[in-house]
Amino acid sequence: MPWVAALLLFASMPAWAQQAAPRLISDSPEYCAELAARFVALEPEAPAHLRLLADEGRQLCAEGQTRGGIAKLRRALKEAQRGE
Amino acid sequence: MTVSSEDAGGWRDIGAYLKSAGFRFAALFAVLFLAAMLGFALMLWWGTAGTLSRQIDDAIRADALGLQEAWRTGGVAAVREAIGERLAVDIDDHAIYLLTDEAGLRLAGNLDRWPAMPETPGSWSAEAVRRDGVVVPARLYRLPLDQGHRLLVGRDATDREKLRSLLSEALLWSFAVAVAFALAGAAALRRALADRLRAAAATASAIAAGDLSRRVPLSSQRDEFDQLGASMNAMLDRIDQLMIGIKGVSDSIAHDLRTPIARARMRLENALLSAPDAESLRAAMETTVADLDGISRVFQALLRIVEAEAGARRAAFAPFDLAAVLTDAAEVYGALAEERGLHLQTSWPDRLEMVGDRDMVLQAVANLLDNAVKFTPAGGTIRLSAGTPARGKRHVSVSDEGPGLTPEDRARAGERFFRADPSRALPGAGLGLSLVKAVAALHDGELRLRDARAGAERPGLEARLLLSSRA
Repeated sequence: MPWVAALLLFASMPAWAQQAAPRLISDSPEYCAELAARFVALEPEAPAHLRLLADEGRQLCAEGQTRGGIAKLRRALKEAQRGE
Repeated sequence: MTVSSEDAGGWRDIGAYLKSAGFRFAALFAVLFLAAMLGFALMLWWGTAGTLSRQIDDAIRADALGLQEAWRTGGVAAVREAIGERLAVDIDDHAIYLLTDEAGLRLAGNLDRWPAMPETPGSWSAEAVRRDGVVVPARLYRLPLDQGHRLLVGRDATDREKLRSLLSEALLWSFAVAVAFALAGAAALRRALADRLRAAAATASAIAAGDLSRRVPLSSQRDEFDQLGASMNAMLDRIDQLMIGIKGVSDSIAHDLRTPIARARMRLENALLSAPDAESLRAAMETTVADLDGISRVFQALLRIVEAEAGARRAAFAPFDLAAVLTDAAEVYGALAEERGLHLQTSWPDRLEMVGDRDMVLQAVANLLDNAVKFTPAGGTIRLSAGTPARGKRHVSVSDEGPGLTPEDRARAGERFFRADPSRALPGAGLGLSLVKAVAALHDGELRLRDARAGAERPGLEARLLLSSRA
């Protein structure tokens, strides 16, 4: 039911138009690798729990759970930047 | 195709229902209720979904300005780095960025290609983007950069759409409930109006059917309907009084004028049949003419009373000096009193200005003096006085030393053709005080009667005419 308005919005959109919509690529394995590489630069200074969090993120990406892995890596990056 | 009379009657009933005041009041209530509901819904929408939209737009604009600054200071590399950093810490995963070169190739960002949106600088658009194969709404802002580069900043608007959807659903249900309440309230209002007016309508129908004794029942609420009912009852009482008055006048005319008319006819008949000579016939005719003149005067007096009671002469009201009127009356009746061995005492201020019908007031004073002269025995005194008993009021008093009136007769004095027993032997038609009373009412006043000398053998009568000095 909460999706009624969204459904109404997109139900009127033809299938070819939905296919033509641009795609978000920040949930791909490549992006996961990009985030992991970013964390490497911060890793020496990062506390242990953030390194653990980043490792969990990498592991999830390696297991194909890309969105979960990206979320963990982002949290680790944000916390690490805050600590700098 | 023909329309049966039953169908036509049904449509007429519906038409009458739609035109009824109860329905219109109820419809007005329903419209106002729904308008208030709509206003509430708009305020709620503006305060929630509207606020969220404005916050998203503000965040996008600030983000875009930050990247534009990075472009100015560091060019493509700085913008790429800034976008990468912002995406890297976007825990909510709502941010959308895209930087393209002059050929349209992606240089940075998380959107695979440029969406089909209007090519106007700084333009906003609501677009759809695909996330994990699912199409989701997005709010995008396009910003042109130097050397053909273009920057796109946006946010995933799924949460906003969810809120809008929830709000729309809640408001739709609320609106449905409001419509139900408005209709129920309108029906209750219409029924309440109909119930309150039913008693008045039933009374009016009964009166139209001939039952003039019916009155509108009043409730203890003392509201507008009770005020209307009280006004209707007062009007019906007045009509009742007028009807009784008209009936009394008709009876009196039939009774009191029948005798002089019959007498005139008999006199003429006797003269016609048995007059010995022309002289006797002439004398009989002269007497009959005098009788008919008397009848004519009665009719004139009646007409003046009706005129005064109807208030038709109110349009002719004008300022005049009551003292001058009294002087004129005293001059005429002073001479008459002197002829009969009476003494007329007068007392009033030099000027008594008022607004009213001078001729009617003079006639009323003359009637009072005429009665006083008629009933006061020789050697007696008649007192004519006037003054200002209160602000905006004038009074004229005429006192005599006649036999006076019993309390019962005083209560009836003023009725048309009423004559107390002691006066039946004297000339008159019983219309003098009726006219005085009518003139008093015409000037928002009244006529009060009491003993002039209470306790005396001949108490006399004091007639006090109260008038309003402002019409």
